[in-house]
Amino acid sequence: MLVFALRKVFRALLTVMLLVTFTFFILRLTGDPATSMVGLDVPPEAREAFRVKWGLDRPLWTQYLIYLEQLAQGDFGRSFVGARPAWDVVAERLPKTLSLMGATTLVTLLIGIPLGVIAAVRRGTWVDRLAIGVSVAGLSLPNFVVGILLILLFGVGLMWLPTTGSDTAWHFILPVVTMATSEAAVFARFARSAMLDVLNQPYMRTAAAKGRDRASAVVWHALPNAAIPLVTVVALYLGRLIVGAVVTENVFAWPGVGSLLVLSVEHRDLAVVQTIVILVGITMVAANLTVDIAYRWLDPRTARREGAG
Amino acid sequence: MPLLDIQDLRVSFDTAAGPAQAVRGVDLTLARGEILGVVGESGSGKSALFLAVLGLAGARARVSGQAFFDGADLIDLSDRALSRLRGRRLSMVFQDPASSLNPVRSIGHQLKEAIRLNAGGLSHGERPTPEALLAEVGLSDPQRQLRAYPHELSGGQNQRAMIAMMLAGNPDLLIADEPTTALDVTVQAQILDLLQDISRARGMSVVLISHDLGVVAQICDRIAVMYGGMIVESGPVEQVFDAPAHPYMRGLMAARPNGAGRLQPIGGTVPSPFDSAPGCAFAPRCARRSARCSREVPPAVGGQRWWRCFHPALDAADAKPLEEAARL
Repeated sequence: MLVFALRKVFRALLTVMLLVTFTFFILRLTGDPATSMVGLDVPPEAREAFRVKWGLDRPLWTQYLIYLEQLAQGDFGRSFVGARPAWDVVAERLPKTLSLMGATTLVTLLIGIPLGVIAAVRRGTWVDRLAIGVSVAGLSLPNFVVGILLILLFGVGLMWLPTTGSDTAWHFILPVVTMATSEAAVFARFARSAMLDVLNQPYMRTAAAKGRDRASAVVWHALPNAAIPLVTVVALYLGRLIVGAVVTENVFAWPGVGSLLVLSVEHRDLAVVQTIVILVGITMVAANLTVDIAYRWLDPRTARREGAG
Repeated sequence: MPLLDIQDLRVSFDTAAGPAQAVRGVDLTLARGEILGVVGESGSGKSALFLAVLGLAGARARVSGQAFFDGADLIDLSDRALSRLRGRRLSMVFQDPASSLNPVRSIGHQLKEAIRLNAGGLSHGERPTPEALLAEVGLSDPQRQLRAYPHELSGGQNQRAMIAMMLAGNPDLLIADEPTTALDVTVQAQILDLLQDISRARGMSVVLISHDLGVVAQICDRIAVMYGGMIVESGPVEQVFDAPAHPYMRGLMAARPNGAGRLQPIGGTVPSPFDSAPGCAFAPRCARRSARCSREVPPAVGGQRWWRCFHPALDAADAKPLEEAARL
């Protein structure tokens, strides 16, 4: 078990390390911050001064080593904008993004999983067809299309809901609906197929022979088994959620990390982009670790097998 | 009054290719405390018959006829009413014990669930304990077995645990659908002995569904032989085994390995459930058939011992069954 945990942690560190390296070089090889920050309509000396000030004149690998050394000390570097610590720039926007993601996750799970479960239990009926139809529609519409349609309808047309900013609870509605639509569709489809698989298992018939009625057999015997494949989806979901947040925050001018990321890439604000990428990387790695643990908790077969080996 | 009285039960399944007729009119009675063996090849309708009686045949099944259990027609009962009877009055154990138990719940969890569902209303003293039920089915290490998950126990242990779960409500009837087919031969004999012991001790009726004549011979009082969705021969086990009257049953006996001589397979194949030709379902494979066999379904002939055949094997070579038939 200890070896297993150590191996997992080592692999996680390696993943984050690779991500940091990759981002570092790609960002520097694909654009010059001096051009985007200082501009082209100033004398070349001004751009050169900017490069010297930020150490961008040194060889790439020297910059890389310096960056790693800073990172090891918990220093994420400084933003080109106002020379503020990159971590502070990101951290002050984090709550907005986390609350958006949290609300989206809640809505996604509360709509997606029951929809899939009901579709599976009522397989072949109009309920099932409706659920499949809704989820295909939700899946095929990209976030930015859903967002813009919602803005046109509820913001511009009906003028019921605010479309920019994040000041009140009302501001949450459109971005959350935008993000949750496609995510709930994914969960509904996975929940449906996981349930269909489980509902045909012999132990469901045993439950009925024991005197379980249909509804309580679904809750007590089918759901715990269907949850196992669904857990895998959760890790995938987190990745999609982060991408969705980047798009949605930009559509709705939501002052979170997602809109900061787009802004910072545009400006080649290297330290901020790298900080965000590291944050996302760590989140994904943590999510995968959590899924591994959840697996063992949900499925006694995996726990005992690996525990023995 | 018999415990179970099935009358003209028919089961068909809706399929893409049309209705598949699994059971084509079965009459059957079962006395209290009796052990009835139901034999037949796969596809003979033996499982579908009893799944239908318990209301477990699934959404695609169309069931008609009657099945009076203690006076009430099970086919007529609502899902809810039938669900209340299952586990309490009638229970069922299935072929593959490992996949018939929930893999993510411990044996103890599933056993306590059965007790709560079916004996929850009883006072503390009357309610069976998990330990007592495990002991009754011969699982002697309850501390370990209650904590174990199905994948940690052997097939025989799982089947014993399943039987314990089905005994929690002290049912009048236990239907065992190929309970030993997935098990080793030695374990098979132990499970059969266990079923017989429990039946005797509790006065519980058992229906043992099997494709294996040897299994039925070991513990059953009476046998019903199914072919093509109908019972073709039925009677006390010794009588039917000593002198099978129906050509199909004779064929089954000849196809048994008995250590002497070659096995004689029955030529031809089982009838298709989509086939609705008139007459005896066995006629196309039968050496004794006449023109009449393909025209009409033979009626049931006899009393306690009966068969559906126009040309039963009651010739001079089988004087004994002839005498018996005359007596009945």
